[in-house]
Amino acid sequence: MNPLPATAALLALAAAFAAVPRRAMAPAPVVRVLAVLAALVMVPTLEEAAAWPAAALVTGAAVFATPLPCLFGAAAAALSALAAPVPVSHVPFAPILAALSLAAITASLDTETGARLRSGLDSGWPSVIAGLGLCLALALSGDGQVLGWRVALRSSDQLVTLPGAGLVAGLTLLVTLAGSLGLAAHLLTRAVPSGPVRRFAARLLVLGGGLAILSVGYWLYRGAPFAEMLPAAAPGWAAVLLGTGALLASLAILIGDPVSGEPQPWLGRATLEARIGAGLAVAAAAAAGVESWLRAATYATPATAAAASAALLALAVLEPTRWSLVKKGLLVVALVFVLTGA
Amino acid sequence: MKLLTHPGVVAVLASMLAAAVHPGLPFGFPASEAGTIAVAAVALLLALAYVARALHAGLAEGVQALAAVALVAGLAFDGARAHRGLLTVEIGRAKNTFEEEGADGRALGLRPLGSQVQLVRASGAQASLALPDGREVTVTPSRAVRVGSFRLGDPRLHPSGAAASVTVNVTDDAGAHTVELSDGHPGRLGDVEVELERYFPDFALDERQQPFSRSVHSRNPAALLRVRRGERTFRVFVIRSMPGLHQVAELGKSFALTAVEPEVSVHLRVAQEPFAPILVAGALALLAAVGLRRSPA
Repeated sequence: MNPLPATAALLALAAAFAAVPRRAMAPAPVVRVLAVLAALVMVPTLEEAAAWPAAALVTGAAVFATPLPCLFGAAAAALSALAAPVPVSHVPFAPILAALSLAAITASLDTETGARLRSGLDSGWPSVIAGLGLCLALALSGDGQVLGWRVALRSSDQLVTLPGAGLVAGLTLLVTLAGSLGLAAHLLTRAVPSGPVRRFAARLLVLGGGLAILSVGYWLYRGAPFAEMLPAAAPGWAAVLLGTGALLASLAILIGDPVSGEPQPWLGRATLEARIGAGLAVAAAAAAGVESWLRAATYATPATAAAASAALLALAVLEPTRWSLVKKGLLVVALVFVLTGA
Repeated sequence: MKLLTHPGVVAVLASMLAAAVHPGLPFGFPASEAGTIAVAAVALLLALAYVARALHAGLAEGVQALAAVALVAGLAFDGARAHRGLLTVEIGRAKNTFEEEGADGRALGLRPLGSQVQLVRASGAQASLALPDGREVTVTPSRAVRVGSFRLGDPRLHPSGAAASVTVNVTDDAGAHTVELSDGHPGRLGDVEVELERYFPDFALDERQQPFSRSVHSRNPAALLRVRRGERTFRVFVIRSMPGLHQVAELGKSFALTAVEPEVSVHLRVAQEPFAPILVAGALALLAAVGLRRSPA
């Protein structure tokens, strides 16, 4: 494991948790300081290909200094720390622009969520979404091994089962899923008195968050002796780390004091961040096309298609419609695909 | 027309197009001819929506409409006029055609390249080509090259399963001698002529104890040699993993396969996309439009 990106990941995680709950629009100075430190720590690692998008994402997190960009920056830095070292042959402009776009769009998602919470959105919804996201990450990591109570590291000719890791991850999945579904049931049936269900679901989610921390740490502890097999499992682990961070951040909103204030300034800021993110997504698509044309002789490559797809979703995000948070969520998924496919 | 310019309709059209072009989705472009037509229809509707909106709006919408028209037109013209495919060439050989592929990856047959290219050498992930004007160009994973009106890039080296040369060590009472063999080029050691008859890059025996190759990769190379002395011919089987095994008592010599240089072919992506500059201009205009935009998201 490369210690510099790992340090950057820890700093970005600390920045994310210092940023929640977000009560003022301007970030606390400590958040920006931690994020800037994380970005600086990434600089010496730029001779490796995987470090460029991670460094761009952490730099974006330092610019916007809101929880979600910091969490994505932490996950990207962790992925870079676990990835097999591949020397960079050229500066990958399209992934860098896509990473900056991701930072801006996740910041916009954060800010708009803040605006919705101030205009009456129940504080349980972020926890439901984050909980279900963590469950999805757990279920999909390692080709669904967790569903069989097993976590294993794979290489071309070897399979190493991590003892106990499957039990912890499986329990995390069950408890978080129960908590998320219970809270969603309460939120979707407002006419039916279901206060105890909400309280029980919230406790399950807190337990799920604790188990998720244990699961992430235990996986790393058990997997550390098999360093050469970690790169293959790293994307799944980084997704679980991201889901865990998002769940813990959302729990701070769920069990913390309710936020108050005018939503309009937050919406204005979210619009600006979305415009920046959309512009960067379009620039990433253009860069992907030009890079493919220069390197692979044709612009018609999967990388260009993925970046073009993200750019089209960015144009959809710019349209003033309902379901703005859903559109931004889809754009985040598309940008993550651009980065992981790169 | 008013319905087409509604933000909800534009957002849905853009999202549909995003899903259609995404390479990770099963219905992604270009899955079939019908899918291509559907994608083209959605793209046209989206461009039309931006144009209609630009008729009653400001500079940003005008630039966005221009960008959308340039992008759709560029893709449509390239859809009709572009040629893409794969050039497969072995070291030392020359080619002046490539295997053209349709938008759905279907092979369309051979298309002239416009000039002849010869593969001079290939190593690692790069290939050097000799052009008819005497120039030599090197294609690497990070740099495509222009040959006539085509661009060649993304070199991939593939073992063909044959051997460019094999090195055989022949030992007798006088000592050890090395002879290098290739297809059609026998080697000579004194009064003995050694010829490569068959090469097995990944040698194995089938259920009838007949030799065959499990793959084209040189994992367990072996060779069948034809050895002649005067009128007598011997067939000698050599396996690199068993160097001391192959003795011919009548000749008083033992044979060992010591090295193999596998024959590789290089696959190069070939493309002729005359409208690519229009697409770049369209993308830049779209970027400017997003920057100029003033309406709330």
